[in-house]
This record gives sequence, structure tokens and C-alpha cells, in this order.
Amino acid sequence: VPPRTLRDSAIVAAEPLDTLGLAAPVHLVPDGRTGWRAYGAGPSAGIPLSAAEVAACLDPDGPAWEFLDPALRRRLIATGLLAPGDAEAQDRRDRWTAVGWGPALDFLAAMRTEAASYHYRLPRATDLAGEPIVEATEAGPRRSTLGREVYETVALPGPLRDDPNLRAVTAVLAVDQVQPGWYVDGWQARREHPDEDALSRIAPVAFGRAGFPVAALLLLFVRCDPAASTASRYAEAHVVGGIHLALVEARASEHGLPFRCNYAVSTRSLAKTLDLGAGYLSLGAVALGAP
Amino acid sequence: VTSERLRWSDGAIVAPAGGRRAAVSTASTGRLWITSGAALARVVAWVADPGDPPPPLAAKLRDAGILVDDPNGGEPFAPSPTLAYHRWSERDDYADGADELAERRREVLGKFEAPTRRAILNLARSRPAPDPLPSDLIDVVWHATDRARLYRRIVRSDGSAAALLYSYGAAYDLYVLDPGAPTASVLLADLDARGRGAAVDADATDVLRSVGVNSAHRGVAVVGRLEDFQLRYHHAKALRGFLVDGGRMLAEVGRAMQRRFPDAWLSRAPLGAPTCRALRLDPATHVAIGISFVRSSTETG
Repeated sequence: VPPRTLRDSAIVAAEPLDTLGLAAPVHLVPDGRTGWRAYGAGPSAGIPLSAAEVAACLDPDGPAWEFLDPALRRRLIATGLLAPGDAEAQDRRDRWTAVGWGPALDFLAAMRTEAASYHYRLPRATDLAGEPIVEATEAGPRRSTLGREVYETVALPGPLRDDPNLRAVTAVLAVDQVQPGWYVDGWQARREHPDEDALSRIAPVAFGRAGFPVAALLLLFVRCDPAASTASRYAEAHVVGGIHLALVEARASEHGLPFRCNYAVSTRSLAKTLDLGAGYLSLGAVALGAP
Repeated sequence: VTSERLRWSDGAIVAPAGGRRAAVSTASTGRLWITSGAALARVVAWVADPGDPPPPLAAKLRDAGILVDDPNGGEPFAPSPTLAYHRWSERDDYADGADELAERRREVLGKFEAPTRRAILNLARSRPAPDPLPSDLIDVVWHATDRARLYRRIVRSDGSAAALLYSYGAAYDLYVLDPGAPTASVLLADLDARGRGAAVDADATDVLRSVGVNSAHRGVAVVGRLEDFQLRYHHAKALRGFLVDGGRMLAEVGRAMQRRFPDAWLSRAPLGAPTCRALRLDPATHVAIGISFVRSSTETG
């Protein structure tokens, strides 16, 4: 169901009140015990409502309705929160669309109230060239041509390497002469993973459906505690993650490796089982294929 | 449920469910309860003021994890929008998410109505762009959007339902900022016509100042349009992709700027409302992701 626009909501303004109900794209989010925030069509700003007002919106025939301030009632209609109930009936077979964008709109509204701006030095060309090739170690990969290209691609660019909030994990599935497994923060330490099959489950779902043959996968995590983080910081973590995922993609391209990026890949549990530490968000993954 | 205090769980949300019904759900358990608006209204009132015996629905909502025990009953409770959003974004079982056989996603895409499809296609089309971009930024804009252009082309020409989800190119605009330009100092770049843009009624100095950069600089801003993601994805988790993709787009602009101007900088997001307002955009419908900028007097690489 496409989000209604505020312009559409003007249509309902003249409807008789006794046919009104919550409009289809509306979301009500609790704000404390007695307060609520209401979001209408599109990413409109949250309107603060009391519990009594929410009850009135939910039950236009109920006792709370008559106490609803007429001015607020008009505002709820004008912003598309209230609309003819039956006309807005939605197909609820998909239970997740019932949630809609409500939590995201609430989050974005919080972000808009915060002022945040950062200046970030772009990585220089030398940073993007990657780490110098080091001698293979017992624990590290012996590099074939493909291994070397994969190695150089996932060797972290300077800004990424220097950012203490970022962690990168490379999972090797099928790179010539490289021992399959999980390599955390570079090639030096291969880790045993308690769930060895995890990658074989992740890769086909996230990438294999498109027929992409995954040879290795770089997973990026950022340290950010959602319980303590501002909305701006949380959003910034994702944007910065996107910046670094793009840099890895660019390096893959420069090394002639096919790649696919997927930020929806479910790797949350890996942060825990790989013992990255507390409070890491999964930002996404870049899958590398054979050249 | 007896007389103890309950509160709404983090990530709880109420939405209409057709007619006089309402759907209440929570991210913590993923449970959804559809009930009459009147019954839910009684629970809302009781949670706020639990003087009376709880309505019968309260016990069911507690069993579903939508209401939770509140040992600090009476204390102010203010769930963080960040935490609530995070809980929703962590769920994997969205209908249009990745599933092994992609059947569920196909089914969801099949429900896209014709107006939605048309709207998505329209968003992937260029608008008239009669004005020339500054000559030394033409390549920056063009090469930074190579991939975006590819995706826009796929959306326009592929015709398949899956292509509707290709949002990378269509959801972001590039604004070229040049305070010293003789005419328009802000141009909305046409990603499909090399070197062309449309003048925007905004002042590049104001836009740069919104991120603490003075008018001795020029740059390219990346701005995302939420509507484009909302049309495609009908759930909150997609905001993560919106932000991550914005970062990818900003990195591509930054790399292209750096190839041309080795001393280019990046102002990273979220830039918040001031930048949108300086661009005469509604911050409720747009998110400024970032600006790549360089001193106007800098030499090209």
C-alpha cells in the first residue's frame, strides 16, 4: 500500500465524524506510560497524543471521543491520521506490512531534533591501494592468484583500519589454496566458528539466488549500542558502513573481482559467535566471486 | 493480569487494521494482535491509569509480549526511538525480505498495484534539466553515478517485478553546490544527461554553511528521498538500507571528487534538517546523507 500524501488527506476532511477511524498508514507509538506519538501518511512529524486521545482515535464510538478537543480532531483529520475507516481497510494477509514505517518514522523524527555534523577526511589514493603484501604465515592464507586478489581487496583501507569502531570479518568459502574459514580483522588469525555451516547458509540466500558464485565474503560490523545511542549516531553508523562497503566494492573492481553487496544479509548472530564484543551492528556484506 | 503495572514493550506499535479494528504488535516478539479499536482503547486507557481492574485483552497482550511487566510502576518510562527502531530492524521475517526460494518476495511484489508501479517508474525518470553543470564537476557527477544510472535503466526497462526493488539509483539526488556560479548556485543534477542540471531556488552558501563549511568551497550533496524507499519496501527495516545505500552513494561521489580534486573532503551524515531546509526540501521527506566538498581555489588532480 503506497503511503498516502498529505494532499490526499484533504479529501477526508469533510467526512462526517461518525465514519472516521484511524487512517491506514497511521502508526501510534507509545511514549512513556501515558504519552503517544502519532505518525500520519508519509513521513510526517510525530504528533504527541495523550492516552485518552489515542483511545478516542481507536474507538470513535467510545466514551473518550466526546472529550476529544475539536481542534485536535480537526488536526488529526487534516494530517491524515483520521480517515473513513472502512474505505481504508487493508489486506492484512501479510502481517509485517501492518507495522509499516512507523518505527522508522519515529526514529527519523528523533534524528531531526538532533544536530550532528562531522567532517571526515576522504581516504587518499594511497589508502585505497591497500596493505602491502606480507609473507604468508602458518595461520594465514597461501595466496594463489585469486587468493592474492581477494587478500588485497579485503585488506582494510586506511580509514577503515584505523577506525576502532569498525570490525571486518572475511569468510572464505572457496578461494584457491586458502583454508576455508573465518578471518577476523585481517588475514593473520583464522578463527574456529562454532557454527561452521553459517556461511553456507548465508551466502546462497543472500547472493546465490541471483546465481552469484560466492568465493569469499567480507562482513562489516560497527560498534554502536542502540540502547544508549542517539538516533544520529545510529544513523551515522549505517552511513559510514555504506561508505566503507563502497570502498571495498571499489577495490574489488580494481582487482578485477566480481562482487555483490548486500546490507540485508543476516549476520547478527555472527558478531556474538565470533566474539567481536558487545554492541556490534551488522552493516552488510560484500561477496567476492572468482574472476 | 492482576493489579500490577504493565507498560508497552519497546518497539510496540499500533496501526489500523481495516474497519474499526486495530493491529498492535511488538518487535521484541514479532507478535501481532488484531483486535477491535474499542478493546484496544480500553487497554490504552488502563495502562495510562491502571486504577480499575485490567481489561481482558491486557492479559493476552502480555502473553504476546506486547505489554510487559513494569516493576518500576509509576516511574516515567520513555522508550528510545533508536532502540525501538533497532528492534524492528533486527527482525528477519519481513515478507519481502530474503528467503531461500524468493517465493515469498515474488508474492509480495505481485501485490504491487499499478499506481505504485507507475510511481516507481516515474521516480526513475529524469526531470527537465536545462542548465549546464560547472565544467570541472561534470565528470565528478557523471562517474559517481555510473552504477546508479545502470540501476535506473534497469528499473525503467526491465519490466520485471524484481526490478522494482532496485532502489540504489532512483532514491538519491545529487545537488551541485557552487557559490561562485554566475547564475544558479545550486543545481539538481540530471543523472541521465551528462553535464545537465536544473536550477534550484536555494543558496549554495547556505547549504555549505549548514555543515560548517564556508563559501570558499564547492561541492556535491547527496540527498535521499524517503518516498522512493517507502514505495518499494513497506516496512521499517528498509531504512537501514536507505542509510547504507546513501553511504555507498556518498562514497562514490567522494571518490569521484577525489580523482578530480585530491584534497576533497567529505562531510558525513546525518546532516539532519538544516541542510534539507537550506536546499528548500522538506526534512520529513528527504534525508541529506552528506556532502563532498573542496576549496574553490584548489587545483585539480
